[in-house]
Amino acid sequence: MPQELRIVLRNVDKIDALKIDDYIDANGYKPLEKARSMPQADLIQEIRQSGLRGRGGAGFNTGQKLAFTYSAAGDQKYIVCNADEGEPGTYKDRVIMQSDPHAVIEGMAICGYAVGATKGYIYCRGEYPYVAEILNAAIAQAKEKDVLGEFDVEVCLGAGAFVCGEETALIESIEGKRGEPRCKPPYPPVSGLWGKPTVVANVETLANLPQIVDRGSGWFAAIGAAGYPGTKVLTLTGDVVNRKYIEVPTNTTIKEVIYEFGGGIAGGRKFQAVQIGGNSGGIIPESLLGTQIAFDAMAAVGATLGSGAVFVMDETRDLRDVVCRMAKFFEHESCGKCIPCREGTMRMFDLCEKVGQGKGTAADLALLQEIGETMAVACFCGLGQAAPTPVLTAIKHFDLLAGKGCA
Amino acid sequence: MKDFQEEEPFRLQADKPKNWFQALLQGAGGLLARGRDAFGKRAGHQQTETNHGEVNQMSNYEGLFSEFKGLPGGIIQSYHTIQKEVGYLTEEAILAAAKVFNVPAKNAYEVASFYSYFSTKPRGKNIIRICESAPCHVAGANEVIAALEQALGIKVGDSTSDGKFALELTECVGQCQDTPVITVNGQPFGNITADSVSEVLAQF
Repeated sequence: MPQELRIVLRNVDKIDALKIDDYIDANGYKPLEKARSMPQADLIQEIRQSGLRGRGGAGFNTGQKLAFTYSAAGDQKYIVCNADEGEPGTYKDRVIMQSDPHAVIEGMAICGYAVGATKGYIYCRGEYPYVAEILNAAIAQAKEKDVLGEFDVEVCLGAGAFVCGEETALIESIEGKRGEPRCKPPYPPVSGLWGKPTVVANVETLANLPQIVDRGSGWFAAIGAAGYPGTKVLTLTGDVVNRKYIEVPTNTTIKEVIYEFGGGIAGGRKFQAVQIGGNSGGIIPESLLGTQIAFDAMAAVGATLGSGAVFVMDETRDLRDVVCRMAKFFEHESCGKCIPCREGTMRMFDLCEKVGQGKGTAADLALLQEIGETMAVACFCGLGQAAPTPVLTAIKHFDLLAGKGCA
Repeated sequence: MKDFQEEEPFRLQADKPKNWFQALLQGAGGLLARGRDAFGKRAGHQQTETNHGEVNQMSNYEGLFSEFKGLPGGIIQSYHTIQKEVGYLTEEAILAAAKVFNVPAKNAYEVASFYSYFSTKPRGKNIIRICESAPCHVAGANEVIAALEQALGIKVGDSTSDGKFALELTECVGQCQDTPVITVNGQPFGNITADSVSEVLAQF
């Protein structure tokens, strides 16, 4: 039976998250000391060689991101922790921050040293005020112990906007504006927060860094799938026996996740579909369960790893109803900045409602497909580009007009 | 409360009373008291007296803002503080924020209206949010919505007439190990059933 491998969750249930001494006793903040003893370029090279890629969904090489920010000219640079996880079914970042906030802060400080930034912000979603309290307590302790040196961290509380998970929308929100995405390029490593070079990285990505610095890039690169090494924290929801979070190497298959770790389908019913990565993810049929939960493997089958949410649907679920709910989510969360997303999410929801009521026709599916394919290329940011994914994959793999079964 | 003409246009009043609470009672001041939100849309038909606190002086707003004054981007954090004290973002609070943070009033309104967790109309003191995202949806969120509407005697989007509760929908609150989930004032309650709704309400 496959086993969990806990890197970012290594301290869960082992230390008291609110006691910095517990963290320090568990080798905490020693990697930061080690990082600071290395030349910046060597540190960045080490992180790049580990192969660590962003765990928020975009999968960009973290070392490369640091290298861009390091090379960018700027009198001030920033490290921003993206703690705005909003994909339905995702709570991995909450677990990491609640159980080991110092790992995230230490990861930020390592980035800060690497690129020459002395200020960091944690953008914590508005749904997690209780997590922001933990982070603030941890930051206060770190300052009192003087483990961060020159590096300063501050928590910004979001206010319930899914689009703020998009890095430039998040930056706009920290600046006190509507959370609408910016035109890219320039990307944040060149021009981010207040126009300064900025590293925006996900909670899980940052929490990996102390371990990578401590144990070396070779150790990390050898774990899991070659192109997307390391582990992934997954959250299992829906019709699965064990609704829980796990951390597994990235070469674990979806089937192992659902049946070995998740205990299979609840109530002895049969599997129908699984959606991975939250609402922006593809809806996956049984035939693709052998896929590894790695970025490229998922992309190769037209799905996404995304945030790592694993939403299981059993044979009794009416996919028309579930897909309609997902379309409503995007209709609600579209920020309205660009027309393809603002209009597209609304039209898709309208059509999905019709299909959901059992009144859909083949022409409706063709129109959904056309709108969806247009949005995937024409929308301004990742929200709109990914919004049609559940609908398009449901049409591709299932008989959506009937609501279930393989096409 | 005085009823106002539907067609009355949205405008900022220079001569409005300085005291939002008075304005609310008189129905003469802020747009919000007239059942319209900051964009002139008809606000929820059920008007609610709020009883969140005694922040009823313009100067008090500036006091609340002082913590964030000079903090770049502090307007969103200051709105959180106002909502904690007053329950929603009053017109006066938004205009005061524009002044303190040195942005045009339009920008201050934009921020207030953009984010789901900010409200520009009065609402009940304890804010109940029901997650309707897919994992909660399949776990029975609709039954929970129906049970809450019945227990409170209001529809989603409204507040109870005693000003005690407001009922809102939300997307994922990140507690998906315990679907379906509701939150009250941000505090999550998981594995909610139609039967357990009253137990949660009794705590507030």
